[in-house]
Amino acid sequence: MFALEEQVEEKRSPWGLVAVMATLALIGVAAWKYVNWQLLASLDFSVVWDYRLALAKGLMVTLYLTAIAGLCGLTAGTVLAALSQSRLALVRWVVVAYVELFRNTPILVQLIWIHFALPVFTGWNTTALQSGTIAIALQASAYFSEIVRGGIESVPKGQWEAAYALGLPARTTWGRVILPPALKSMIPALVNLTISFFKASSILSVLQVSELMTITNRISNAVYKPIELFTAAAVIYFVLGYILSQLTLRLERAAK
Amino acid sequence: MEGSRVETSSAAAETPVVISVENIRKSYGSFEVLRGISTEIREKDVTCIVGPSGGGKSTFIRTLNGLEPINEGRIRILDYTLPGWRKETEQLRRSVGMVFQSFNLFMHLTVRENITLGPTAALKVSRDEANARAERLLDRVGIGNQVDKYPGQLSGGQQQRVAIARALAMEPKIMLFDEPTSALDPEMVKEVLEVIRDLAASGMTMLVVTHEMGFAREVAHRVFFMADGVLSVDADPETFFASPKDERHAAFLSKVL
Repeated sequence: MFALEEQVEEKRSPWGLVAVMATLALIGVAAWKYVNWQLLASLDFSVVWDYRLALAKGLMVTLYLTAIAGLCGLTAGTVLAALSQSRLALVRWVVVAYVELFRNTPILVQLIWIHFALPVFTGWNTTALQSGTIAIALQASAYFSEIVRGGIESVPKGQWEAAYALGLPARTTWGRVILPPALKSMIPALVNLTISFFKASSILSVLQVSELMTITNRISNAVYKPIELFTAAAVIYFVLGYILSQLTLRLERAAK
Repeated sequence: MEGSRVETSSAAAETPVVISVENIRKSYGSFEVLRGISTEIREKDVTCIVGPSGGGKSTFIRTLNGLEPINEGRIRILDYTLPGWRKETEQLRRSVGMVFQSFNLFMHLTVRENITLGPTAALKVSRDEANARAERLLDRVGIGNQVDKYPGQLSGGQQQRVAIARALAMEPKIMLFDEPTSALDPEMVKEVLEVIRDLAASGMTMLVVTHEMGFAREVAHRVFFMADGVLSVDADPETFFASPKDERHAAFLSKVL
């Protein structure tokens, strides 16, 4: 505590201020000398406004995929986490294999498997959006299950014992005793993961799933304004991600 | 081997046997915590289990409702047998209440929900009836005004009384207490012992692992001494505290009395 306060004091010393000024001056000189101001001035962000409807549609698909990741991830992930506590070694083994497979292979490869390999084996053709939805749900369930498992393990052993000692049915033990406090302790991790999927859904652009990144790319190719469009996309991802993480902080504080 | 079978000294020898423990053994890895324990408990017996820490007292009482699986031997409780099928163990636990050292209340549920959860979910008792039970029991343990609070808002002594009410709400035939006052501040021990004493007086069959020698002497019909995984003394309190059976027993008494 004291050490921290001393550090704060140090930062307020005149030397700190001088250092900051010097750094800023250096950056200013470098900017003046190296930045291509002509090019910078030629950037035309009005194109973003022109294509606002297309971008909004792309954002909707991205949000849909995020919702799929969050909802499927949480439900299937909870089921997987519960199964990972099973008494049957075979069940535990299958869950571990599933989780490790989807966590430790690139999502790009998973997309290819689902979109191109699955129809070969099953004769079941999927659209790009369907493949993307399946891939993101499968991967999310694997990642979420790890968080839920951690949450379940954070519930004190005494809670299990009290539930057992009362002879509660398994359904009640899970639904009323273990999961509520477990989920509460997981909120930050769950939201962080959802935000990761919000950004990671951009990988589905390789299948031309019409989410934000695909749309951005298409417009960019059409009007040849990549810097403006991709910067705009980054701003959209950042703003929504930031709002979501701030909301979680609020939620977390309210839960306490 | 008949491990540590000793003469029973039941206060009410004519009542039926409700717990029969037959030469149970339990190990953690190579360490044997319970080394062949046999005994019988009769209905309305109040039995206190005392002995040095690490002697197997808690493990023993936790085997009686299947919280600690046993490696060898057999336990019969009421109409149930351990080891047994999961469903049977679940049934057994609904008839055998347990109170833990650290209360183990469900911290995210109110006092009322803590008490009604078991009866409604496990016994299919109606919500109204469960609520009535909760209120009656909380009155009985002296905290009728705390029904809508969360456990975190109560003192340790109050929490332990809620835990007792939660166990009693299942209308158990037998109550197990695993060091019910060991985690309490000294000034709260009395209020909890008071509740347990009343329960004993009401004729409940009880086993109590405890370090409260005064309580054991006053309330118990039988006192067990457990050390090194063996139940070596089973006597009425007067005999137990006055005439030690062996050196280990004498050494223990000299420390606690």
